[in-house]
Amino acid sequence: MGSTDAPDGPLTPEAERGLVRRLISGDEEAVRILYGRFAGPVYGLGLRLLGSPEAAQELTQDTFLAVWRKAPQYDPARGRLSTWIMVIAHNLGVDRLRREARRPVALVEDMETVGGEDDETEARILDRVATLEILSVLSAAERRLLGLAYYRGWTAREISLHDSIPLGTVKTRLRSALIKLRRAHGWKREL
Amino acid sequence: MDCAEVRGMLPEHALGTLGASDAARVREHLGACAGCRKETGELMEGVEVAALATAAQPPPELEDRVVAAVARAASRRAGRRRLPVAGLLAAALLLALGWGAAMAGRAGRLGNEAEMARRQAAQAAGDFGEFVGDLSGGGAREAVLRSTSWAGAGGRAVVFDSDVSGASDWILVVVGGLPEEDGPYRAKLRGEGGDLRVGRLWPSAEGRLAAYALFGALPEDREDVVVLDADGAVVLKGRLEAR
Repeated sequence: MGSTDAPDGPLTPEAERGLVRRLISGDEEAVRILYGRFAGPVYGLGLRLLGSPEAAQELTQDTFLAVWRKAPQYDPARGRLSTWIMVIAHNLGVDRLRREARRPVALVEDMETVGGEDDETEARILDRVATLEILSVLSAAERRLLGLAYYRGWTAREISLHDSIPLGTVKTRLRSALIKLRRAHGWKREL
Repeated sequence: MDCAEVRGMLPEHALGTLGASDAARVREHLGACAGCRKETGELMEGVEVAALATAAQPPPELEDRVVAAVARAASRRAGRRRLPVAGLLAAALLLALGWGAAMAGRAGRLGNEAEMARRQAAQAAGDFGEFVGDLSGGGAREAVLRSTSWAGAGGRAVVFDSDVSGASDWILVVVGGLPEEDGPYRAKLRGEGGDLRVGRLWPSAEGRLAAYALFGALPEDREDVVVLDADGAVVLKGRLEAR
């Protein structure tokens, strides 16, 4: 049975709380609803961070297990469910990345050159186009810094040393990139 | 930390790349500063957009794997949570039986009270089975233990087969009228698959001996309950039957 169809609009805070309650009680349908909404972003993040479909699948499974395990700790007052789940996924991915010193597929700035394999599916092409469209509001420098920080898990200091950019500039550009994304595409946070 | 210092760390805090000690300091500040919390929320929304930017279609079979993994974890957690409850129930029962109130020597001295002990044991075991069955959902089996050597000895055993995934199965054995000098006694579940150790029978009140054990999943082919003396000879035996 599959339920990975597109979500039917954003979840209200009440719906989020209800889903979390059902998750805590072990409701399988709640797991499937959450999976249907969040598996795509989690899996995609895994692909970008860890560089292989196998690792991305493991990250997806680990993330949903962690979400189930930590569900009693979820506090709606501190943020949306989608944000909370993606933070869990990212933390797990970065931890694994650092543990295995794994090299991700590519930075965001390299995305134009990623893919293109003969067997690339239409879905993958669409995924890539969507990524580029969303990130097009960023300057090249911002895309690079965001890629190093979010998709490779580098600290601002590591980026500063690697790219020979003042630490303050790195932090300022990261903030600028995140605020731009929020302003330009905040409506897309309708998971 | 003041707000200016925290604000410089918030992008990394939102991106999850801040070191553990700095992250803890930032969290402490956020707990008391609404302005920085608001800024954090906005940055987190930006991070979420970045996450959506790389969304990809996972393979179709992954959903069932994930759901099954969560179900397994939930089942294991349920099992772990039930164990303390099981222990409490058993402890309550054993207290009711006078567990620890009698010294080991009393068991043999009261051998002539075997019939009374057997009746009391049967009542206690029956109450126990009903109690556990009512609480946990599942089926109970009971065995009347009859002596293979001592006419005055006997007892009961109750097995509770939980039908809740991940929950424990139980067995309680209560006997009376066995001579002290042939002990210590041990109880086992016996069947085609071999023996399963229940444990040593310890003295309870009024000449009774009792043992209980929990099993993750009790094999159904262990149909007999036996009590062995110190030499390994079967002194009590009974077949489990549905209550």
